[in-house]
Amino acid sequence: MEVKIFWQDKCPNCPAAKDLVRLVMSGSEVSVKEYNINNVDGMAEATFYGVMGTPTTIVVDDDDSEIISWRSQIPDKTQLSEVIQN
Amino acid sequence: MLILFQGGLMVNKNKNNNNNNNNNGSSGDTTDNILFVRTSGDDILNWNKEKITEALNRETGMPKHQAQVIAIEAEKFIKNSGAKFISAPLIREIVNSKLIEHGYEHYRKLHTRLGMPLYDMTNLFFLSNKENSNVHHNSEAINLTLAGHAKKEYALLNVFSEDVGKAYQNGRIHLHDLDFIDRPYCSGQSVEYLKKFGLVMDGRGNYAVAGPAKHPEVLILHLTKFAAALQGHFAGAIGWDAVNVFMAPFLVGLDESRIKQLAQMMIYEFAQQAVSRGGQVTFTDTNYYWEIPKHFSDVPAIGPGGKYTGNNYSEYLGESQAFMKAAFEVYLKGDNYGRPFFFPKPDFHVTDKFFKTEGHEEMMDLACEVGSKMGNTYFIFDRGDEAKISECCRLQFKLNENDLLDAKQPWKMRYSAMQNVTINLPRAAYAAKGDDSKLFEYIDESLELAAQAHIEKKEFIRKILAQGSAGSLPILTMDLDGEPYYRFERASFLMGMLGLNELVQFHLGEELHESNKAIKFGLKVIVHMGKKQRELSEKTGLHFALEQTPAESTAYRLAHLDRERYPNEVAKVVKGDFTTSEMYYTNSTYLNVGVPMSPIKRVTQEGMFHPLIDAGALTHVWLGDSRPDPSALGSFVKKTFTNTQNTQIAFSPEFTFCKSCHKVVRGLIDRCQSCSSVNVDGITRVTGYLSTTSNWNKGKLAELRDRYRSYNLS
Repeated sequence: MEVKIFWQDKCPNCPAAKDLVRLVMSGSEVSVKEYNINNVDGMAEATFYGVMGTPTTIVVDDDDSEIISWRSQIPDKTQLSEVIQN
Repeated sequence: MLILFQGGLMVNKNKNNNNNNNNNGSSGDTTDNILFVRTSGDDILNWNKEKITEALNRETGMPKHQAQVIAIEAEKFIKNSGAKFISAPLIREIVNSKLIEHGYEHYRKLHTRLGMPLYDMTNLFFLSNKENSNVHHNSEAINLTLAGHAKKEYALLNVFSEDVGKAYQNGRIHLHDLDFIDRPYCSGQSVEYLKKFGLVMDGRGNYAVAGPAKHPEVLILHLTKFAAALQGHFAGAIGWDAVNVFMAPFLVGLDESRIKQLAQMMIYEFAQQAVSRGGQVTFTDTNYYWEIPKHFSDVPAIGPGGKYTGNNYSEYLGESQAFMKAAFEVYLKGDNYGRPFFFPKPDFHVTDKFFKTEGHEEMMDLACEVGSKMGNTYFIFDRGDEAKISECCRLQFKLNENDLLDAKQPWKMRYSAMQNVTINLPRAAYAAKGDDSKLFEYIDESLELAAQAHIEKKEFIRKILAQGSAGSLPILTMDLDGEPYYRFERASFLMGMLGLNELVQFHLGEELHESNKAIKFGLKVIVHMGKKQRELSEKTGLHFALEQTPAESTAYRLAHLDRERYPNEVAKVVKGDFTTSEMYYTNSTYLNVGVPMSPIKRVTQEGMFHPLIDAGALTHVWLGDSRPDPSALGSFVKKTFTNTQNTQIAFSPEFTFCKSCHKVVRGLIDRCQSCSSVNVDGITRVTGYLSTTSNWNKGKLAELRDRYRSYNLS
């Protein structure tokens, strides 16, 4: 499992989304990866998951398949916590 | 008496033969031979070495004193050669060899003679050229190939810089349509231009000029004739936007059968126009909308006689839909033998508004029935507020804010791509040898070469257009609405890609379909290309756009050129048969065509690349001899629209046509099932259009053999 956060500069909700994910994930063994979609690597990853806006948070399984996502919004803290604990 | 050759030079060793009418006076001081020169005007002139001096000075700018030295040496060589006859091209080459001996490479280049060896010319008469399967062997096609050959040579010598020319010749990049170097690549038109201004066939008004059409039949003829005339001004496709919407004001009060007759007339007029350039049917795209597109809804409609009707286009929804429905019914029936029409291509725009417009289920059923039975329908997905116009195999232009302002005056909506340059992606992988940074550096350099090629082509076209109506592109300079027909500064410049699959396969050891890692790396390459393309746009002021190159012959040409330089590397990744000529690279960003894969997975995975390719992309679903239920196609199309990022799909069935008994059957077979004749031909989609397989090149035939056919759409 992995949590992916897609963000970019001048995105008003991105810092809050990143903070929330970092907070929820602190102490967790699940890896978190942050992707700036203004970079080539970030944009390629975003395109793979069909990300159309930021902030977007996607939890994927070991096969890169999406388990849950919050697209163009700050993720729901409770839902995210539940997903990573399962 | 020794003899002459072609429109150039005649040599006569008979001193007493004075039956020439020249007035240039041979000095006869350096040769015992009397040399007669036959000019291209069929005059016969005496040998005069000063002609060499003059030609060198005139054609290359070489100072006369230097040119005289070359002329003397060339003359001496001819004198000593003891040749039995000599021709003008040979003299030119002798002069060229003297230029090389003296190290005058620059002058030699400018002194080049363009043309074709006798052997090649003979082949041209007796063998078919298969570079483009829409060009069928005939006398006009020979003219087309012959002229194209000289134009291509000219382009590489005199339009493009040495760096660009070399990159093309060694296969690092591919410059498309060099044989049409003196024309832009492709274009999109508005029916409104003809409705408002009538038809000026040659752009100059030297021939009969027609006023705005008053009857639907005349409008259709204006449309098809103008498309043929434009084919002489562009290398590639001629697209028409929203034909059903703009035809609508001419259809008021007409019953269903009359409208069907008109739709049939339009399709046949386009489909049979094999009398224009190179005996080639005009490559035409016709765009259809079930709804009135938002940007045309409130636009005042132009009706018969070029007059405003007093209504907006939103008030012609019924007529517009009736024409669209009629057109697809014609496609469903096919031609007199029941074969699919190859052109005009019907581009069916699937939009959010489509699904909200009454009757969309019925129209979708019909479009899918055509897709399943004949393969004609191109499903183009315009999601959200996006508006696009399709023009070529897959070329689409998204309408930007300026374009949408133009929509208030739809006759202004004339778009063009001036040139297409394709980057050979597998070559980058071979050069990089597994090193990421080298790979991206190589791609960047290739894109820079492509940008340079575009700048050079633009300059050449600018010079032609600057001649105005006296120049060779008079329709493009025609000014009926306050600006030239060709909106030069609005043109786009395409950067295509070929063989992403083979790049990834060589670089990572896996093909695109084999892992998420591979597909993500493929995405990274295209994102990188897009970023570089935008940087180059900013730097040069040219509007560059990424396009999925159709690569009908490019996929074959570049694989062959790479085999010369990187045989071991190519052998690892090329598709088809490496040991024969029948090999190819996978087109653009496609996945391996031969991999068994569910069509929805292919559409989804290939569709990931589509948002990154701003000038258009397409996924093929190869149906083979299957004929899926139209409702299955319908749900597939809807699923693709809703759940994927794919921007265009087409379903491609295969047919065999018997030339003896004219029966058409599903699938590709070698012998007619009705009359047992082997005089049969296959029909299916080659790249972005349907054509007969007998006209395909070896690379595409190899791809055809490999294609995985989907028999189940679920």
